[in-house]
Amino acid sequence: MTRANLEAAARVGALLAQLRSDHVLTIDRIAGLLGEQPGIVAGWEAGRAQVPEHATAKIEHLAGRLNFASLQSWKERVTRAHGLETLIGRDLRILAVSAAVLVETDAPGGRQLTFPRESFLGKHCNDLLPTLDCNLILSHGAGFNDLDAVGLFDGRVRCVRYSAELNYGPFARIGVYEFWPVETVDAGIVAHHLCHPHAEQKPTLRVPGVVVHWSEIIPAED
Amino acid sequence: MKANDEWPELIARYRARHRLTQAAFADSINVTQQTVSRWESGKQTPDPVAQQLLRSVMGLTALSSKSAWQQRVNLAWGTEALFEKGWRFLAVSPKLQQASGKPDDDVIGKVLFDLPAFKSEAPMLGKLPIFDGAIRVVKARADLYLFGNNFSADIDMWPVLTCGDEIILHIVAYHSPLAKVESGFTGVRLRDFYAIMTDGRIVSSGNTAAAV
Repeated sequence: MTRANLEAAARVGALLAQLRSDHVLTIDRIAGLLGEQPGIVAGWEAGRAQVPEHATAKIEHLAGRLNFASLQSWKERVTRAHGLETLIGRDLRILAVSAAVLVETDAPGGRQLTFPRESFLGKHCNDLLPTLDCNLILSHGAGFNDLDAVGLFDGRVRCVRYSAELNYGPFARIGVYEFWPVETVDAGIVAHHLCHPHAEQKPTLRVPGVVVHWSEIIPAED
Repeated sequence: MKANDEWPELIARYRARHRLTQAAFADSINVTQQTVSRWESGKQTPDPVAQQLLRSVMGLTALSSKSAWQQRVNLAWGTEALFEKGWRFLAVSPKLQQASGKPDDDVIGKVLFDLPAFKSEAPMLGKLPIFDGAIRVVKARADLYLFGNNFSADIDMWPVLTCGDEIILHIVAYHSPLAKVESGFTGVRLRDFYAIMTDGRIVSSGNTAAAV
């Protein structure tokens, strides 16, 4: 390789290594996203092989997309968000949670409750509901299982939204909850879940449970 | 996706990004150069089968198009807005419309800093490289006095990459009813402002000019 080619190969190799590190991706996954063989991409990352011009353009393009739309960047967005937000995978497990979710300031007696992030991450959404015995989204009383059934993770639904009072015992939360499917470059569709609390509404439940006021499923546009 | 009016731009951007001539792109998807030319000039819309092929080749899906993001903000329950390069309004949520007292048609396409209330923030916000891909998020607290309502809000500004490789800006505001704005203030004032750059640097209001 010429000196210029060596420098270009080193630059692409460094970019690939950074992408893998920043977005927690394997060589196989990067290769899949680039439509290349893992062995070839590994050679590029190690600087062992000259990178064709078209491949350099593809890698730079992928880097730009990952910076804003990788699963890792969506996790970062939700973690840094001001509001009550979580990111949920297709298996309905929590992938990320915002700081506001970890603090409940409205517990009885003016107490402030805090929860460790670990009490959410990796947990199934249904485990965080006071009960599954409610018509949360459809009428199955199956908690969040309906999200997959209605097509949230395959692009058929633009938004799932419900208004509910959730009484967890130590505290209650009343508000409108939204699930927005968002597309990640490396992990397909995940759900961006937001809660808009209605602080002015008084709780009606005296025991742990869920009251759903209304729910709606907004289909995706063609 | 309302892609029919987006295809010319999407195809042209894709070709430019991959340095493909119309003929080379046409060859890669087994159509003629004339067909690509007609799609790109808007004279012809790709048929559904061709659209599916184009989505597959170009990595497009319905959820990450500009129109899908506009739909999201138009439907959002919260206080949200969407901007394109030049700080032109693409969408405002119903709650923001209600708070501003302005109907949707009044602001879509307008430049934020042309609105009198936001003129004072143009020197700071306008020069941030938000639409160039250099910023991960901008966070701020805003004091607002608009149309007789005064309140504070925590604001997150998230650049979003569309499937057409265009960066648009998704702004979400969270009202802080406890933090009242002092009487006599009118307009919009950002404070406690900072930006997280894509390279990890944090730029705060104190050193904006020097860092960006």
